[in-house]
Amino acid sequence: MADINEDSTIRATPDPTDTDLSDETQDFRFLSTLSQTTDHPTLPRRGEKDFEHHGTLSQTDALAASRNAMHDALSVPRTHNPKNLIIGLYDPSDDSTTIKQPKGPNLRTMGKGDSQGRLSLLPEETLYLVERGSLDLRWRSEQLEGIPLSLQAAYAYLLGKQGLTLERYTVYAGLRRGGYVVQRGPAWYPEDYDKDLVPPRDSKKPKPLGLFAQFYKSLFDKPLPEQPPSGPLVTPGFYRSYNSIYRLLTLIPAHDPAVPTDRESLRSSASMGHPTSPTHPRIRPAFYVWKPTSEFKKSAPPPPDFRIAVINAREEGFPVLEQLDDLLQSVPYDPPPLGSEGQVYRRVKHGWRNVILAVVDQGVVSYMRIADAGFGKEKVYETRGRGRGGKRGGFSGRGRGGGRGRGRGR
Amino acid sequence: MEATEPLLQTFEQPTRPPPRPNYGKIHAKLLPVTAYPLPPLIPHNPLSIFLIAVTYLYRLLAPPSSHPKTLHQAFFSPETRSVHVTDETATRALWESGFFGKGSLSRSEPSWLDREKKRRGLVANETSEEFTAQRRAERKRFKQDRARKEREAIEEKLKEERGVHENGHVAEPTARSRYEGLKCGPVDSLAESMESLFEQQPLSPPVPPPIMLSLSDAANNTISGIEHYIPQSPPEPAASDLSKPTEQDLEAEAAAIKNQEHLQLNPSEAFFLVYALGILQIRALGTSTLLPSETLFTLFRQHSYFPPRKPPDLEPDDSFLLQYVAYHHFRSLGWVVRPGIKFAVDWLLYLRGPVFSHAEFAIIVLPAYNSPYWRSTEELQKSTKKKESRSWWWLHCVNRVQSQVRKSLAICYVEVPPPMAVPAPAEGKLNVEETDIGQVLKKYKVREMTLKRWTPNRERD
Repeated sequence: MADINEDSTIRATPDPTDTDLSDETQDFRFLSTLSQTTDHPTLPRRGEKDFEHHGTLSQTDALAASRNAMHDALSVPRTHNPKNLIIGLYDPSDDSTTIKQPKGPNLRTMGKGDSQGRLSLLPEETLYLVERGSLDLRWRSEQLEGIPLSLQAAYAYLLGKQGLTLERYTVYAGLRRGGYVVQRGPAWYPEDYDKDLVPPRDSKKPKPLGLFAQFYKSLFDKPLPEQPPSGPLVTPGFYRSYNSIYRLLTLIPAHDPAVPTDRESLRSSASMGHPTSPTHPRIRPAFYVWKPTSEFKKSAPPPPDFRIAVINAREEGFPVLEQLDDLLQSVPYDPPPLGSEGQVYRRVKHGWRNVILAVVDQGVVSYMRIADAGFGKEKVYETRGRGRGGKRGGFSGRGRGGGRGRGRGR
Repeated sequence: MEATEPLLQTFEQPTRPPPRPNYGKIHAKLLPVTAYPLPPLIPHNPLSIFLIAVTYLYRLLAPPSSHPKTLHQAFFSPETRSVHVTDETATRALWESGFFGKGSLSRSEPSWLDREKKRRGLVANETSEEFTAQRRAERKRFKQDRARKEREAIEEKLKEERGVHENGHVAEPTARSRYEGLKCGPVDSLAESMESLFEQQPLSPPVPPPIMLSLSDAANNTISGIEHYIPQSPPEPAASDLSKPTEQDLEAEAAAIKNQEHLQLNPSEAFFLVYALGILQIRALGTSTLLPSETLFTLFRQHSYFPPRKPPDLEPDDSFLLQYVAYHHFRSLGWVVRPGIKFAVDWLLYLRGPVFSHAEFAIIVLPAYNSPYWRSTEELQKSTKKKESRSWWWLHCVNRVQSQVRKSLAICYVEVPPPMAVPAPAEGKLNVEETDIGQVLKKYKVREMTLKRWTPNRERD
């Protein structure tokens, strides 16, 4: 649904190479309809619209048929089968909802069961089921036992409980509706933030050269000459390969994603986790997400497919490096897949650790995947000699976005 | 009208464009410095061993140098904050090996002279700008054709439906009249008038060509001061009418055109060529005194502010330092790095160069203030927060542009050391004595993050 809209906007926008006004002189005669002399100035027409009314009956018929189909679908009376009715009791003392007789496919991936076959739901799960119409929520306390709660009441009671913000609920409900299996992540338990650091595994050592290659290399590889303090880094001389020149140019230290940054120094820095004035709040994944196709079991969940952190765009800006570093260290080490050696584009895009940020701006969610790229691990000058590895790797996943005639600038 | 004729002809008889130059050969050198690899070793071919031995011995006795005998010369222009290379060989060398700089009158490759010769009908080569113009014109025509066909289909349909109504039962007058009214509405008539306009003058540039010609000719004559007369009318039709000029005449005329274009390098590129490769010498524009890398280092830092700051007021996070650190980092990894202002980013990364493939990565450089110094006092905390904060709207703007041009966005964080680590020169001096630029640059640290929009509907499998 959202996709269709997005694609159409992409297609409707003009080709970037077409609108490069810098190299072309504009013809402004098309603005003549706007001039004062005409009685009814109209805006000039730009581009084609998908459903522009052009007066044929077949178009009108198609539109009417489509409209009728929609109305028919909406006018079907929706009923709840009493057999499938689930009654949940909301306990205001601990904000949990208990279901005595859990049934139905929804509950297979939600809630937490106990020995007596009852299921207790978290606030977001309750709210989602109520909103969906699958759960009849009742009040449970000394007085007013069994009074039904409306959707409004459910929202009023459940939002804000146990760290359930509207932003988190928006993301949760959106993912659930999309068919994903969603469970809580570490963001709900701030006291355990430092327990989840995952050190990277030992990276694979490069394969040692064969005896002959080693001998050949030692025969021709000279030790690198000394560099004068004010440059040039590449002193005039005799170099046998560009690799040795590039090795001389290496100067700026780069972060190695396979090595963890020093946690102790990070925690002592003034910005992070400061009790009185936290300059930057720490970010943690709020949800672990599994694809609908995965074999999810509540008792033994497999490692999640995605980790999603929720951010309120109105309150927080784009995270600074410290926040991202802190966040990325809490997610598992996920290096570029084996066998992708030499495919620079693919490796860098995959990154060494990754997390998804869900940026919520007043109910609208934008997801952004952030990966620790590790450009420094890919020596392009070494792979370049061996042909253009991974040149085409970039676009395998873009079946739909690149419509006709869409170029990209140099 | 005359000037459009040659263009028109090329479209009416679509001929295969002349073969493009062998870019693999032209751009074989990855950097302006030269490396001398040995011939490949083929174990089952004894001749190759012999060849290696000969080359090895020869180079042992007379080792060739990586740098040319005379270094390339350039001038620093403080007004444009760029470094100008006017020498033809230096321009070619810097562009061809490593894609440094940009022609001041061209899109990227300095090709003004070729375009000018082509425009005067002296050579037949195609420049990349012309390829682009041709492609755009073709696409425009295609779109017009498509629009016309769609309109014709609608007309056909309307006619058909009208026929059915007249033959069959009673037509609906209201609907009919509405369609008719729409048909002659302002929108359609505008489209028709636009179309007729294009039909009259297919592909003519909107500004009348004679004006453009006379303008540029006037500029040539005044600037270069060349006496010889350039005919006001385009040369081609005149040439066909009168006696054909000989090849020698053409060559002489081509040689007489003075190249008005220079290569302009941005400060990061220029500093890389001076400090890292040592292939370029930069002089001050007025005095022609040689500027050593220490002086340039301070000069470029000063000019990264506007108005340029005095040396003691320089900061460790001035934009030249941040940009250069990122530039050097990616260059030293083997990427071809070019400015990315066209795509709302700081740098574009090419695997081999712009003539081979599109840039895959668009790099935004952001400062990161990880050092405890930047949050040591309340005032510093405030100013740091102001410098490092970016809104989500900003990020989405940048990312939107990148997905339109199908590049991958990467953010390059540059960790800024405290000011103590980056010495600022004293008042009145341009450079600090005994600055080890390498030591200063090593205090910075880079880390890159790739960003991509994630769409739940497409990740479901």
